[in-house]
Amino acid sequence: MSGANDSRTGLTRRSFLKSTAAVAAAAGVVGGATSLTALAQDYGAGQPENEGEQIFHGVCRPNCFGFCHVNVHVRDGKVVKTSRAPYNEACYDRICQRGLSHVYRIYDPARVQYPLRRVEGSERGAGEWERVSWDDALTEIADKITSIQGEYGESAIAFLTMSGNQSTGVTGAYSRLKALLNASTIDTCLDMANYYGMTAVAGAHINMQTMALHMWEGNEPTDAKNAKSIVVWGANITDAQVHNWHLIKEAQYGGTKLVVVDPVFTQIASKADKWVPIRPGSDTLLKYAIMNIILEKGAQDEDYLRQHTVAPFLVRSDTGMFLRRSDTGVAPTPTGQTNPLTGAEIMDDPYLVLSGGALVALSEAPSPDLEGEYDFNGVPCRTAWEILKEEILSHTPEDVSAQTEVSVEDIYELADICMDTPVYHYEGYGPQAYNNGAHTTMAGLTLCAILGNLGKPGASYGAFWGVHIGTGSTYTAPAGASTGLTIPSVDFKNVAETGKFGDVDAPIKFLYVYSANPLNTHTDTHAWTDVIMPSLDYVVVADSVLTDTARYADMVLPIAQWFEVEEVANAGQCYSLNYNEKAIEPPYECKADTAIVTELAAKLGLGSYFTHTESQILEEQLNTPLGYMLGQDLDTLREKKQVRFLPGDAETEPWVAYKDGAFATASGRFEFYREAPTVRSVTSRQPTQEEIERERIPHWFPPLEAWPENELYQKYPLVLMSERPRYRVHSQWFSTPLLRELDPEPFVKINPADAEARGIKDGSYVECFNDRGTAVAKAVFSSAIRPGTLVYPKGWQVPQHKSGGWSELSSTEYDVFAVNNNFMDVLCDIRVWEGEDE
Amino acid sequence: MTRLGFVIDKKSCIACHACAVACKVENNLPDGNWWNRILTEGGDNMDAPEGTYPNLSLGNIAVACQHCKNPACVKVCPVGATYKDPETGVVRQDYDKCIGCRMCMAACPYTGVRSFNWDEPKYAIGQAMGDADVPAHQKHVVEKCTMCWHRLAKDLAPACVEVCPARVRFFGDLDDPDSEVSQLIRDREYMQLLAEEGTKPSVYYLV
Repeated sequence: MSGANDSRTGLTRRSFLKSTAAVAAAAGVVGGATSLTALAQDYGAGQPENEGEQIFHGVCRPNCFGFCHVNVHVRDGKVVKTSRAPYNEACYDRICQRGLSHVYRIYDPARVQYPLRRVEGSERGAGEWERVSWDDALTEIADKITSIQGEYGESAIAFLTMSGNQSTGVTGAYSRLKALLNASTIDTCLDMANYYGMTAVAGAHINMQTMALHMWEGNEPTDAKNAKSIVVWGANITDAQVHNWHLIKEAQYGGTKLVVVDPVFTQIASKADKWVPIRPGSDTLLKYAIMNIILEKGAQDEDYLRQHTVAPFLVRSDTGMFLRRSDTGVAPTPTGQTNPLTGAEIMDDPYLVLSGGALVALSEAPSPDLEGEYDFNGVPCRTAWEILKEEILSHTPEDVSAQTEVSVEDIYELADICMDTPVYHYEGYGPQAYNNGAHTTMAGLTLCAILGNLGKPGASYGAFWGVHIGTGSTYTAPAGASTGLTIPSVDFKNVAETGKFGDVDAPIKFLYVYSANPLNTHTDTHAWTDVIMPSLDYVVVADSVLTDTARYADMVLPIAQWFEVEEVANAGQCYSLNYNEKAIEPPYECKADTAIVTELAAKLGLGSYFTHTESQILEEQLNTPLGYMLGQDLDTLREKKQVRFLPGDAETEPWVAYKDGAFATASGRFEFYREAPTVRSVTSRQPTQEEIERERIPHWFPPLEAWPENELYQKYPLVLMSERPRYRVHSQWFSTPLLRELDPEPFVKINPADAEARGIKDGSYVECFNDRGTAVAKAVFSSAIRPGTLVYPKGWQVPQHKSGGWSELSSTEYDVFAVNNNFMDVLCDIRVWEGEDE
Repeated sequence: MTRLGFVIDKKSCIACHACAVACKVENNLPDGNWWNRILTEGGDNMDAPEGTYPNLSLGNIAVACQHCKNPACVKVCPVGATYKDPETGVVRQDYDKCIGCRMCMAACPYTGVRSFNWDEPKYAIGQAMGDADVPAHQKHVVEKCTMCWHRLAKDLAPACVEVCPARVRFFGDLDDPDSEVSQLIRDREYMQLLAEEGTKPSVYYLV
């Protein structure tokens, strides 16, 4: 043992005696990995690890879906380290490269230190700032709000937020202010196609016992081990959702087969038992080919189709509606029950089905016919199953192979894997990033429904993410809900151009952005810089660094970061309320969002609504009678740090979606056929009749651009894809110095064949371009990239590029039903960059 | 005897770099200094596979000091600054004795696991971080993985092991046949880096 008198011992600093003594004491046990791990997890809040060091309980919350609990180590009032803290469920203990780098994020030299006002007379985005006091900044903002509301009406003020800080305090405070101001909302359209696709066919599940909105429904990832196979559809889990990889890996070691369908050979594709490379934007077709093979083999679960789907329902050819008893002239009868959502009485008007060819009410047909036609008073009707079957039969494996560039052999193999249930289908956000993206989710769920591969352990389709809807709704709407407009962000450009939202006047003149960076993480930068921003009289951005959006603001407010406030993060894949202690005071002049709202409200004459401290704002929202009853109150959270809002147990009884074939749809069944397709969000555009008919069942239709038959393809032959990268979440951590050592500048991955055809060298600067914009970045050769495509990691800010920026190339065109950002429905070309090198 | 070492399940390592970042923060490593790096087996670039699309293969390998049983570095150090701790098998580096000759760097067959501080250590955030018991970094000194010596002293596993989100890093006594690491290399196929050099590394990669 290297003792105190051993001349070889180099540790002459203050730690020396302590270290050597402890090693002597510990020499007998250092080999036991289990005990070491147990000890490493055993930190408690505020407990000193080293002399003079305190550990606080933090929650890392960029919405990578993880919401990981971390120990925040503080010495001399400064954070010196973040380390892994335990979840209540050991299967969820984790931290990642981003969560470990917080010291560099907190003390990032790029952090905004005091309120910044655009220098008068300078252009927005020119980067000319002057320091102002908080009082001046908030007075100016309040004056603008008042004068703009006076001139243009209350709804001329708009707020925009995203998932940069998915928490009770910040969300609640801003929502309350917005409601009191009757302000408008610029609403999210990020990754909404698969949400819409899911709600279309399976409904949106809200659990009022736990107060959970199952936003992206599926079985809990800890259930994946119960499947025979895991099929990953376009999910870059190993970079974007690192926290879930070990669960997949453990399932794989337990004998579950891992299949990855992705155009890109990602890290997880390299770990898979089978990788199915596919043409971007064609996943719906592959799912249809699998359904085609299911029918060919007679493998459909007819009992499930009869009992839990609309398959036996008769569809009227004239209206597209299901045939009901009221069609026969019998008026619906009252049930005496009230719909809790609408308040209207529930009327009984049974669906009519065929039983042995005879028309009967659904309740009278224990085993209704799946197939059949019926002439109803001259109106031909047929079962919904017949309609779906016709579509399925139109997609042969051979046709689909030509369209998807997946071999017929691979399609059959994948079909066999899907038929050998239970199968855990893990859906990512890649396939839904095209204009046809919603239908890939509808088709995936339909594929599972016809196999009865839903509602059982190991049997699932979907992403997985839930948010707590709160137990104190009056807090966010103390004087009633806002009467302002809700404008989807992809439609904002149209509203800015016309001043109208549909038929309604919508002179949005003031935008307040918090926990969001739309100029970077939304599509089409030029829509923002050239149309939206110029239409606004005043823009406020609350953030901790100068994001692309903050650079276009008139006023930038420096906010406190996550560990500088007490908060409750209320979403994620662990379906938990996660308690975050305040570890340090906000540095410089940074202020908690809740404090900003409180001070701004006072200047707006709304001070009586904001008399509370940061902690009291949490108490007011969480310490409600219902909150106490459910054990979701702040006192419990302060003690336990985490309260699950999902039934069951992550390890022993993982959540199973759509249990017992129950769906939150109008019929209570899986609705692969829809009577009345409804848009996800109202926009300034109305669906055409053709679009409505298309929407009734899952359909494949070509992406807007990214398809070989598109005319633009002749000019721009490369599909521009993106990845949720390893070193950022959305645009967060973009400037963090430690991560920039590993990942210093924007790059684009290109297949060497595509590069060489254009004279591009590995590591050289290239310009990606189309009619909308350009981005200059370093070319990185990688055979993982499908020829004909490019992949760029998301989240770099415009000034980090030599020229341009990635979001310049995408468009705000959207599908009228899904109302989604089509991140990857983009064509471009690439050439050697001729610009000046630094 | 005790021989502390690592087992890394290469099959499931995803190159997330959590181990590298944890090492950097825990050990207060100056700007540009990394004791633990992840290399790609395949193409020339990070995450770039070998082969032609779609016939591809990709591997990741986390490389730090191998804490060899027969370390090449120890033999060449003229001042005894690099030495093997007899109780634990950890290859250690005495910053105060190091004269900066870099003989150890030349002798070590594992390129890049050691670094030399040409200048005064710098921090982009202008402050020290990590564990309070980590010795300060010095100019003109060779550094490398200490196996988190300061954590071993507290009966904690090295930082890289605790944080691994893929749960592929294991640590323990390779001389103890009942340890988890011994069991893993008994039950699974493994490889070692440059085994032919005769250095007998204490890092095993499950394949």
